[in-house]
Amino acid sequence: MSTAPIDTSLARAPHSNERYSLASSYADLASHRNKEQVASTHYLTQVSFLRTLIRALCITMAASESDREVPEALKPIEILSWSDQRKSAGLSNSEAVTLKSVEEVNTPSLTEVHVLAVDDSVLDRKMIERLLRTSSYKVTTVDSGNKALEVLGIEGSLGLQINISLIITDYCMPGMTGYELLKRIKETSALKEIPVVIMSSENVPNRIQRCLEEGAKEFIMKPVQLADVERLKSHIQSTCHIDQPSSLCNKRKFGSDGFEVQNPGRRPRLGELAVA
Amino acid sequence: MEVVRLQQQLIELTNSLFQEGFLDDQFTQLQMLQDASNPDFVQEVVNLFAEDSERILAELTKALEIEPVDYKKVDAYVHQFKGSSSSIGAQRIKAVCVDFRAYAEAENREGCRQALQQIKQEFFLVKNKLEALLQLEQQILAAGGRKKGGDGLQKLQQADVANTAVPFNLWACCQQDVSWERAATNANFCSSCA
Repeated sequence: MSTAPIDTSLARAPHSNERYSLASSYADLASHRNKEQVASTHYLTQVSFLRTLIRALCITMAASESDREVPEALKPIEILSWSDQRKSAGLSNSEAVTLKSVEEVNTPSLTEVHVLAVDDSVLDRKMIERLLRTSSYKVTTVDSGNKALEVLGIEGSLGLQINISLIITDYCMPGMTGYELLKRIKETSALKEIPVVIMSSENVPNRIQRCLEEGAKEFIMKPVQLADVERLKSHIQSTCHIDQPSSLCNKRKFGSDGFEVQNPGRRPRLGELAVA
Repeated sequence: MEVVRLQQQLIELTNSLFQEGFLDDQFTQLQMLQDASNPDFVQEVVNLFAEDSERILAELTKALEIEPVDYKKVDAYVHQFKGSSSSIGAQRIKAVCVDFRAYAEAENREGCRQALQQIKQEFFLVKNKLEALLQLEQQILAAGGRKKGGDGLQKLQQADVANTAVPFNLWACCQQDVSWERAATNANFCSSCA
Protein backbone atom coordinates (compact mmCIF):
# COMPACT_ATOMS: atom_id res chain seq x y z
CA MET A 1 0.00 0.00 0.00
CA SER A 2 1.60 3.25 -1.04
CA THR A 3 2.07 5.84 1.63
CA ALA A 4 1.04 9.12 0.06
CA PRO A 5 3.08 12.16 1.09
CA ILE A 6 0.19 13.48 3.10
CA ASP A 7 2.01 15.21 5.92
CA THR A 8 4.36 17.44 4.00
CA SER A 9 1.93 18.70 1.37
CA LEU A 10 -0.65 19.59 3.97
CA ALA A 11 1.87 21.34 6.17
CA ARG A 12 3.13 23.34 3.24
CA ALA A 13 -0.26 24.46 1.99
CA PRO A 14 -0.19 28.15 2.74
CA HIS A 15 -3.85 29.03 2.46
CA SER A 16 -6.46 27.52 4.70
CA ASN A 17 -8.69 27.00 1.68
CA GLU A 18 -6.14 24.86 0.01
CA ARG A 19 -5.54 23.00 3.19
CA TYR A 20 -9.18 22.30 3.64
CA SER A 21 -9.61 21.19 0.08
CA LEU A 22 -6.63 18.88 0.43
CA ALA A 23 -8.07 17.52 3.63
CA SER A 24 -11.42 16.98 2.03
CA SER A 25 -9.88 15.13 -0.87
CA TYR A 26 -8.10 12.93 1.62
CA ALA A 27 -11.40 12.36 3.32
CA ASP A 28 -12.74 11.25 -0.05
CA LEU A 29 -9.67 9.09 -0.44
CA ALA A 30 -10.36 7.62 2.97
CA SER A 31 -13.87 6.61 2.06
CA HIS A 32 -12.67 5.27 -1.27
CA ARG A 33 -9.88 3.33 0.31
CA ASN A 34 -12.18 2.03 2.99
CA LYS A 35 -14.39 0.61 0.29
CA GLU A 36 -11.38 -1.04 -1.35
CA GLN A 37 -10.17 -2.47 1.86
CA VAL A 38 -13.46 -3.99 2.78
CA ALA A 39 -12.74 -6.37 -0.06
CA SER A 40 -9.28 -7.16 1.24
CA THR A 41 -8.62 -8.85 4.51
CA HIS A 42 -5.59 -6.88 5.59
CA TYR A 43 -6.51 -5.69 9.03
CA LEU A 44 -3.12 -4.19 9.73
CA THR A 45 -3.08 -2.08 6.62
CA GLN A 46 -6.43 -0.64 7.60
CA VAL A 47 -5.01 0.34 10.97
CA SER A 48 -1.88 1.91 9.53
CA PHE A 49 -3.81 3.75 6.84
CA LEU A 50 -6.22 5.18 9.35
CA ARG A 51 -3.37 6.20 11.62
CA THR A 52 -1.79 8.10 8.75
CA LEU A 53 -5.05 9.76 7.91
CA ILE A 54 -5.79 10.71 11.51
CA ARG A 55 -2.29 12.13 11.75
CA ALA A 56 -2.85 14.12 8.58
CA LEU A 57 -6.06 15.55 9.88
CA CYS A 58 -4.43 16.41 13.21
CA ILE A 59 -1.74 18.35 11.41
CA THR A 60 -4.40 20.20 9.45
CA MET A 61 -6.18 21.15 12.64
CA ALA A 62 -3.00 22.18 14.38
CA ALA A 63 -1.67 24.20 11.47
CA SER A 64 -4.87 25.98 10.79
CA GLU A 65 -5.00 29.52 12.10
CA SER A 66 -8.29 30.35 10.53
CA ASP A 67 -11.17 31.03 12.86
CA ARG A 68 -13.61 29.76 10.30
CA GLU A 69 -16.05 27.03 11.17
CA VAL A 70 -14.92 23.51 10.48
CA PRO A 71 -16.09 22.83 6.93
CA GLU A 72 -18.54 20.08 6.20
CA ALA A 73 -15.88 17.76 4.83
CA LEU A 74 -14.04 17.62 8.13
CA LYS A 75 -17.09 17.04 10.23
CA PRO A 76 -17.70 13.50 11.44
CA ILE A 77 -17.93 11.30 8.40
CA GLU A 78 -20.38 8.48 8.67
CA ILE A 79 -18.36 5.39 7.88
CA LEU A 80 -18.77 1.82 8.91
CA SER A 81 -17.59 0.98 12.38
CA TRP A 82 -14.91 -1.68 12.74
CA SER A 83 -17.22 -4.52 13.52
CA ASP A 84 -19.30 -3.84 10.40
CA GLN A 85 -16.19 -3.65 8.24
CA ARG A 86 -14.78 -6.84 9.60
CA LYS A 87 -18.10 -8.62 9.31
CA SER A 88 -18.41 -7.63 5.70
CA ALA A 89 -14.79 -8.58 5.12
CA GLY A 90 -15.66 -12.01 6.38
CA LEU A 91 -13.50 -11.84 9.48
CA SER A 92 -14.83 -13.24 12.67
CA ASN A 93 -15.04 -10.72 15.40
CA SER A 94 -15.78 -11.69 18.94
CA GLU A 95 -16.79 -8.11 19.43
CA ALA A 96 -19.22 -8.15 16.56
CA VAL A 97 -22.62 -7.63 18.04
CA THR A 98 -25.18 -9.79 16.34
CA LEU A 99 -28.27 -7.70 16.54
CA LYS A 100 -30.13 -9.39 13.73
CA SER A 101 -33.48 -9.07 15.41
CA VAL A 102 -32.90 -5.50 16.51
CA GLU A 103 -32.43 -2.50 14.27
CA GLU A 104 -29.67 -0.46 15.80
CA VAL A 105 -28.75 2.99 14.66
CA ASN A 106 -25.55 4.47 15.96
CA THR A 107 -25.14 8.20 15.96
CA PRO A 108 -22.00 10.02 17.09
CA SER A 109 -23.71 11.63 20.08
CA LEU A 110 -22.06 13.69 22.70
CA THR A 111 -24.23 12.73 25.62
CA GLU A 112 -24.59 9.00 24.87
CA VAL A 113 -28.24 9.07 25.86
CA HIS A 114 -29.62 5.78 24.64
CA VAL A 115 -33.32 5.53 23.93
CA LEU A 116 -35.21 2.32 23.25
CA ALA A 117 -38.21 2.74 20.96
CA VAL A 118 -40.81 -0.01 20.68
CA ASP A 119 -43.40 -0.01 17.89
CA ASP A 120 -44.85 -2.70 15.68
CA SER A 121 -45.31 -0.32 12.73
CA VAL A 122 -42.24 0.03 10.53
CA LEU A 123 -43.30 3.51 9.49
CA ASP A 124 -43.71 4.70 13.07
CA ARG A 125 -40.33 3.21 13.98
CA LYS A 126 -38.72 5.23 11.23
CA MET A 127 -40.48 8.38 12.36
CA ILE A 128 -39.61 8.02 16.02
CA GLU A 129 -36.05 7.12 15.22
CA ARG A 130 -35.63 10.25 13.09
CA LEU A 131 -37.32 12.44 15.69
CA LEU A 132 -35.11 11.13 18.49
CA ARG A 133 -31.98 11.51 16.42
CA THR A 134 -32.69 15.22 15.93
CA SER A 135 -31.93 15.49 19.64
CA SER A 136 -28.70 13.55 19.06
CA TYR A 137 -29.80 10.53 21.04
CA LYS A 138 -28.59 7.07 20.30
CA VAL A 139 -31.65 5.08 19.24
CA THR A 140 -32.47 1.40 19.20
CA THR A 141 -35.79 0.39 17.67
CA VAL A 142 -37.54 -2.93 18.17
CA ASP A 143 -40.83 -4.18 16.87
CA SER A 144 -42.27 -5.92 19.91
CA GLY A 145 -42.39 -5.90 23.69
CA ASN A 146 -40.59 -9.22 23.84
CA LYS A 147 -37.70 -7.93 21.79
CA ALA A 148 -37.62 -4.90 24.05
CA LEU A 149 -37.28 -7.13 27.07
CA GLU A 150 -34.52 -9.06 25.37
CA VAL A 151 -32.64 -5.87 24.71
CA LEU A 152 -33.18 -4.81 28.30
CA GLY A 153 -31.67 -8.09 29.38
CA ILE A 154 -34.51 -9.76 31.17
CA GLU A 155 -35.11 -12.75 28.94
CA GLY A 156 -32.53 -14.47 26.81
CA SER A 157 -29.99 -11.71 26.98
CA LEU A 158 -28.14 -10.93 23.77
CA GLY A 159 -24.97 -10.69 25.78
CA LEU A 160 -25.05 -6.92 25.75
CA GLN A 161 -24.77 -4.47 28.55
CA ILE A 162 -26.98 -1.66 27.52
CA ASN A 163 -27.85 1.29 29.64
CA ILE A 164 -31.06 2.77 28.42
CA SER A 165 -32.02 6.27 29.50
CA LEU A 166 -35.58 6.23 28.22
CA ILE A 167 -38.08 3.75 26.84
CA ILE A 168 -40.76 4.98 24.48
CA THR A 169 -43.35 2.44 23.44
CA ASP A 170 -46.50 2.18 21.40
CA TYR A 171 -49.58 1.07 23.29
CA CYS A 172 -51.35 -1.12 20.71
CA MET A 173 -49.07 -3.94 19.73
CA PRO A 174 -49.80 -7.57 18.96
CA GLY A 175 -48.55 -10.00 21.58
CA MET A 176 -47.50 -7.72 24.39
CA THR A 177 -49.16 -4.32 24.63
CA GLY A 178 -47.28 -1.24 25.75
CA TYR A 179 -49.09 -1.40 29.06
CA GLU A 180 -47.96 -4.96 29.68
CA LEU A 181 -44.43 -4.02 28.78
CA LEU A 182 -44.63 -1.11 31.20
CA LYS A 183 -45.77 -3.45 33.95
CA ARG A 184 -42.96 -5.92 33.29
CA ILE A 185 -40.41 -3.13 33.39
CA LYS A 186 -41.74 -1.72 36.65
CA GLU A 187 -41.72 -5.18 38.20
CA THR A 188 -38.02 -5.62 37.48
CA SER A 189 -35.82 -3.97 40.05
CA ALA A 190 -32.99 -3.46 37.59
CA LEU A 191 -35.19 -1.57 35.19
CA LYS A 192 -37.93 0.14 37.14
CA GLU A 193 -36.00 3.39 37.39
CA ILE A 194 -35.89 3.83 33.63
CA PRO A 195 -38.50 6.40 32.55
CA VAL A 196 -41.16 4.93 30.27
CA VAL A 197 -43.30 6.94 27.87
CA ILE A 198 -46.35 5.49 26.12
CA MET A 199 -47.61 6.54 22.68
CA SER A 200 -51.03 5.89 21.25
CA SER A 201 -53.18 7.04 18.37
CA GLU A 202 -56.33 6.67 20.47
CA ASN A 203 -57.40 9.10 23.13
CA VAL A 204 -58.92 6.75 25.70
CA PRO A 205 -58.95 8.39 29.15
CA ASN A 206 -59.10 5.07 31.03
CA ARG A 207 -56.10 3.83 29.13
CA ILE A 208 -54.13 6.97 29.80
CA GLN A 209 -55.05 6.84 33.48
CA ARG A 210 -54.00 3.23 33.86
CA CYS A 211 -50.64 3.83 32.23
CA LEU A 212 -49.86 6.83 34.34
CA GLU A 213 -50.87 4.96 37.48
CA GLU A 214 -48.63 2.07 36.54
CA GLY A 215 -45.69 4.46 36.39
CA ALA A 216 -45.47 5.84 32.87
CA LYS A 217 -43.94 9.28 32.84
CA GLU A 218 -46.05 10.53 30.01
CA PHE A 219 -48.67 9.52 27.49
CA ILE A 220 -48.11 10.97 24.04
CA MET A 221 -50.74 11.10 21.31
CA LYS A 222 -49.69 9.93 17.88
CA PRO A 223 -48.53 11.11 15.45
CA VAL A 224 -45.52 12.11 17.51
CA GLN A 225 -44.10 15.49 16.69
CA LEU A 226 -40.89 17.34 17.32
CA ALA A 227 -42.47 19.31 20.16
CA ASP A 228 -43.25 16.04 21.97
CA VAL A 229 -39.67 14.88 21.70
CA GLU A 230 -38.48 18.18 23.14
CA ARG A 231 -40.63 17.53 26.18
CA LEU A 232 -39.04 14.12 26.68
CA LYS A 233 -35.76 15.74 27.58
CA SER A 234 -37.04 16.46 31.05
CA HIS A 235 -37.60 12.75 31.66
CA ILE A 236 -34.25 11.63 30.50
CA GLN A 237 -31.54 11.03 33.03
CA SER A 238 -28.21 10.57 31.38
CA THR A 239 -26.19 8.18 33.43
CA CYS A 240 -22.54 7.41 33.24
CA HIS A 241 -21.94 4.08 31.60
CA ILE A 242 -19.42 2.29 33.74
CA ASP A 243 -19.39 -0.79 31.55
CA GLN A 244 -18.81 1.17 28.38
CA PRO A 245 -15.52 2.95 28.94
CA SER A 246 -15.40 4.32 25.42
CA SER A 247 -18.48 6.41 25.88
CA LEU A 248 -17.51 8.16 29.09
CA CYS A 249 -16.04 11.20 27.46
CA ASN A 250 -15.82 12.29 23.91
CA LYS A 251 -12.33 13.67 24.22
CA ARG A 252 -9.70 11.70 22.46
CA LYS A 253 -6.25 11.25 23.78
CA PHE A 254 -3.44 12.24 21.53
CA GLY A 255 0.11 11.28 22.22
CA SER A 256 2.95 13.68 21.64
CA ASP A 257 3.57 12.30 18.16
CA GLY A 258 0.01 13.10 17.15
CA PHE A 259 -1.07 9.47 17.09
CA GLU A 260 -4.30 8.66 18.80
CA VAL A 261 -3.82 6.60 21.94
CA GLN A 262 -5.93 3.50 21.48
CA ASN A 263 -8.02 2.20 24.31
CA PRO A 264 -8.17 -1.57 24.19
CA GLY A 265 -11.87 -1.57 24.89
CA ARG A 266 -12.56 1.06 22.31
CA ARG A 267 -13.37 0.64 18.68
CA PRO A 268 -11.51 3.19 16.60
CA ARG A 269 -13.86 5.43 14.72
CA LEU A 270 -12.59 7.82 12.13
CA GLY A 271 -15.55 10.09 12.40
CA GLU A 272 -15.39 11.46 15.92
CA LEU A 273 -12.37 13.71 16.11
CA ALA A 274 -12.57 16.37 18.74
CA VAL A 275 -11.80 19.69 17.20
CA ALA A 276 -9.79 21.74 19.63
CA MET B 1 -36.25 29.55 -16.56
CA GLU B 2 -36.86 25.82 -16.37
CA VAL B 3 -36.17 25.66 -12.66
CA VAL B 4 -38.57 28.48 -11.86
CA ARG B 5 -41.31 26.85 -13.93
CA LEU B 6 -40.78 23.55 -12.15
CA GLN B 7 -40.77 25.25 -8.78
CA GLN B 8 -44.04 26.96 -9.64
CA GLN B 9 -45.51 23.58 -10.51
CA LEU B 10 -44.29 22.15 -7.23
CA ILE B 11 -45.82 24.98 -5.24
CA GLU B 12 -49.14 24.57 -7.07
CA LEU B 13 -49.20 20.81 -6.59
CA THR B 14 -48.31 21.07 -2.90
CA ASN B 15 -50.97 23.72 -2.31
CA SER B 16 -53.67 21.70 -4.05
CA LEU B 17 -52.77 18.61 -2.02
CA PHE B 18 -53.27 20.53 1.19
CA GLN B 19 -56.36 22.37 0.03
CA GLU B 20 -58.11 19.26 -1.22
CA GLY B 21 -57.42 17.57 2.07
CA PHE B 22 -55.09 14.89 0.77
CA LEU B 23 -52.37 15.98 3.14
CA ASP B 24 -52.39 17.67 6.51
CA ASP B 25 -49.92 19.32 8.84
CA GLN B 26 -48.19 16.06 9.64
CA PHE B 27 -46.74 16.01 6.13
CA THR B 28 -45.22 19.42 6.77
CA GLN B 29 -43.64 17.96 9.90
CA LEU B 30 -42.11 15.24 7.75
CA GLN B 31 -40.65 17.78 5.37
CA MET B 32 -39.14 19.64 8.30
CA LEU B 33 -37.30 16.49 9.36
CA GLN B 34 -35.53 16.37 6.02
CA ASP B 35 -32.15 18.05 6.00
CA ALA B 36 -28.61 17.68 4.71
CA SER B 37 -27.92 14.62 6.83
CA ASN B 38 -31.20 13.02 5.78
CA PRO B 39 -31.79 14.35 2.26
CA ASP B 40 -34.15 11.59 1.19
CA PHE B 41 -36.18 11.28 4.34
CA VAL B 42 -39.55 12.13 2.80
CA GLN B 43 -38.93 9.77 -0.10
CA GLU B 44 -38.01 6.95 2.27
CA VAL B 45 -41.07 7.50 4.41
CA VAL B 46 -43.33 7.58 1.37
CA ASN B 47 -41.78 4.34 0.12
CA LEU B 48 -42.28 2.65 3.48
CA PHE B 49 -45.85 3.88 3.59
CA ALA B 50 -46.56 2.55 0.11
CA GLU B 51 -45.11 -0.89 0.90
CA ASP B 52 -46.78 -1.18 4.25
CA SER B 53 -50.13 -0.06 2.89
CA GLU B 54 -50.06 -2.49 0.02
CA ARG B 55 -49.44 -5.29 2.46
CA ILE B 56 -52.31 -4.23 4.71
CA LEU B 57 -54.70 -3.77 1.78
CA ALA B 58 -53.92 -7.27 0.53
CA GLU B 59 -54.56 -8.70 3.99
CA LEU B 60 -57.82 -6.79 4.29
CA THR B 61 -59.01 -8.04 0.92
CA LYS B 62 -58.27 -11.60 1.99
CA ALA B 63 -59.90 -11.16 5.38
CA LEU B 64 -63.13 -9.92 3.85
CA GLU B 65 -63.33 -12.77 1.38
CA ILE B 66 -63.25 -15.68 3.80
CA GLU B 67 -66.28 -17.04 5.61
CA PRO B 68 -66.95 -16.15 8.37
CA VAL B 69 -65.31 -12.76 8.46
CA ASP B 70 -63.07 -12.19 11.46
CA TYR B 71 -64.06 -8.62 12.23
CA LYS B 72 -61.55 -8.26 15.01
CA LYS B 73 -58.77 -8.97 12.59
CA VAL B 74 -60.26 -6.55 10.07
CA ASP B 75 -60.48 -3.91 12.76
CA ALA B 76 -56.84 -4.51 13.73
CA TYR B 77 -55.65 -4.05 10.15
CA VAL B 78 -57.69 -0.90 9.67
CA HIS B 79 -56.29 0.44 12.91
CA GLN B 80 -52.77 -0.17 11.60
CA PHE B 81 -53.59 1.54 8.33
CA LYS B 82 -55.12 4.49 10.11
CA GLY B 83 -51.97 4.80 12.19
CA SER B 84 -49.56 4.79 9.31
CA SER B 85 -51.64 7.15 7.19
CA SER B 86 -51.88 9.61 10.04
CA SER B 87 -48.10 9.39 10.56
CA ILE B 88 -47.54 10.48 6.99
CA GLY B 89 -50.33 13.06 7.01
CA ALA B 90 -52.69 11.31 4.59
CA GLN B 91 -55.81 12.94 5.90
CA ARG B 92 -58.44 11.54 3.56
CA ILE B 93 -57.36 7.95 4.10
CA LYS B 94 -57.55 8.49 7.84
CA ALA B 95 -61.16 9.64 7.50
CA VAL B 96 -62.19 6.58 5.49
CA CYS B 97 -60.51 4.36 8.09
CA VAL B 98 -62.76 5.80 10.77
CA ASP B 99 -65.85 4.83 8.74
CA PHE B 100 -64.36 1.43 8.02
CA ARG B 101 -63.86 0.70 11.71
CA ALA B 102 -67.46 1.63 12.40
CA TYR B 103 -68.62 -0.88 9.79
CA ALA B 104 -66.33 -3.55 11.22
CA GLU B 105 -67.67 -2.97 14.70
CA ALA B 106 -71.21 -3.30 13.39
CA GLU B 107 -70.07 -6.44 11.53
CA ASN B 108 -71.50 -4.93 8.38
CA ARG B 109 -69.81 -6.90 5.63
CA GLU B 110 -71.13 -4.90 2.72
CA GLY B 111 -70.22 -1.67 4.43
CA CYS B 112 -66.71 -3.03 5.01
CA ARG B 113 -66.35 -4.01 1.37
CA GLN B 114 -67.37 -0.56 0.20
CA ALA B 115 -65.06 1.11 2.67
CA LEU B 116 -62.21 -1.07 1.45
CA GLN B 117 -62.88 -0.01 -2.13
CA GLN B 118 -62.88 3.60 -1.10
CA ILE B 119 -59.66 3.22 0.86
CA LYS B 120 -57.95 1.63 -2.10
CA GLN B 121 -59.01 4.51 -4.33
CA GLU B 122 -57.84 7.12 -1.86
CA PHE B 123 -54.58 5.30 -1.32
CA PHE B 124 -53.72 5.13 -5.01
CA LEU B 125 -54.72 8.76 -5.47
CA VAL B 126 -52.49 10.05 -2.68
CA LYS B 127 -49.66 7.69 -3.64
CA ASN B 128 -49.63 9.01 -7.20
CA LYS B 129 -49.76 12.60 -6.05
CA LEU B 130 -46.90 12.08 -3.60
CA GLU B 131 -44.84 10.40 -6.28
CA ALA B 132 -45.51 13.32 -8.62
CA LEU B 133 -44.42 15.70 -5.86
CA LEU B 134 -41.19 13.84 -5.22
CA GLN B 135 -40.49 13.54 -8.92
CA LEU B 136 -40.88 17.30 -9.34
CA GLU B 137 -38.38 17.82 -6.54
CA GLN B 138 -35.92 15.53 -8.28
CA GLN B 139 -36.38 17.41 -11.54
CA ILE B 140 -35.78 20.70 -9.79
CA LEU B 141 -32.58 19.34 -8.30
CA ALA B 142 -31.42 18.08 -11.67
CA ALA B 143 -32.18 21.42 -13.28
CA GLY B 144 -30.00 23.20 -10.75
CA GLY B 145 -32.43 24.28 -8.09
CA ARG B 146 -32.31 23.56 -4.39
CA LYS B 147 -34.13 20.90 -2.41
CA LYS B 148 -36.62 21.95 0.21
CA GLY B 149 -35.33 21.52 3.72
CA GLY B 150 -33.08 24.50 4.33
CA ASP B 151 -29.85 22.71 3.63
CA GLY B 152 -28.83 25.10 0.88
CA LEU B 153 -26.35 26.79 3.15
CA GLN B 154 -24.54 23.58 3.94
CA LYS B 155 -24.37 22.61 0.30
CA LEU B 156 -22.74 25.94 -0.42
CA GLN B 157 -20.19 25.33 2.29
CA GLN B 158 -19.34 22.03 0.69
CA ALA B 159 -18.99 23.66 -2.69
CA ASP B 160 -16.64 26.21 -1.26
CA VAL B 161 -14.48 23.58 0.40
CA ALA B 162 -14.26 21.22 -2.53
CA ASN B 163 -13.75 24.13 -4.88
CA THR B 164 -15.84 22.44 -7.53
CA ALA B 165 -18.77 23.73 -9.51
CA VAL B 166 -21.84 22.43 -7.77
CA PRO B 167 -25.31 23.20 -9.14
CA PHE B 168 -26.35 24.58 -5.78
CA ASN B 169 -24.19 27.67 -5.85
CA LEU B 170 -26.39 29.41 -8.37
CA TRP B 171 -29.62 31.17 -7.57
CA ALA B 172 -32.56 29.25 -8.94
CA CYS B 173 -34.29 32.42 -10.04
CA CYS B 174 -31.67 34.06 -12.20
CA GLN B 175 -28.79 31.55 -12.26
CA GLN B 176 -26.47 34.23 -10.91
CA ASP B 177 -23.56 33.23 -8.74
CA VAL B 178 -24.53 33.14 -5.10
CA SER B 179 -22.26 35.00 -2.76
CA TRP B 180 -21.81 33.70 0.76
CA GLU B 181 -23.67 36.59 2.30
CA ARG B 182 -26.71 36.24 0.08
CA ALA B 183 -26.93 32.52 0.73
CA ALA B 184 -26.82 33.15 4.45
CA THR B 185 -30.33 34.54 4.30
CA ASN B 186 -31.48 31.07 3.15
CA ALA B 187 -33.97 32.68 0.82
CA ASN B 188 -35.38 30.76 -2.12
CA PHE B 189 -34.97 33.65 -4.53
CA CYS B 190 -32.27 36.27 -4.65
CA SER B 191 -33.15 39.74 -3.48
CA SER B 192 -33.25 41.24 -6.95
CA CYS B 193 -35.61 38.63 -8.35
CA ALA B 194 -37.80 38.25 -5.27
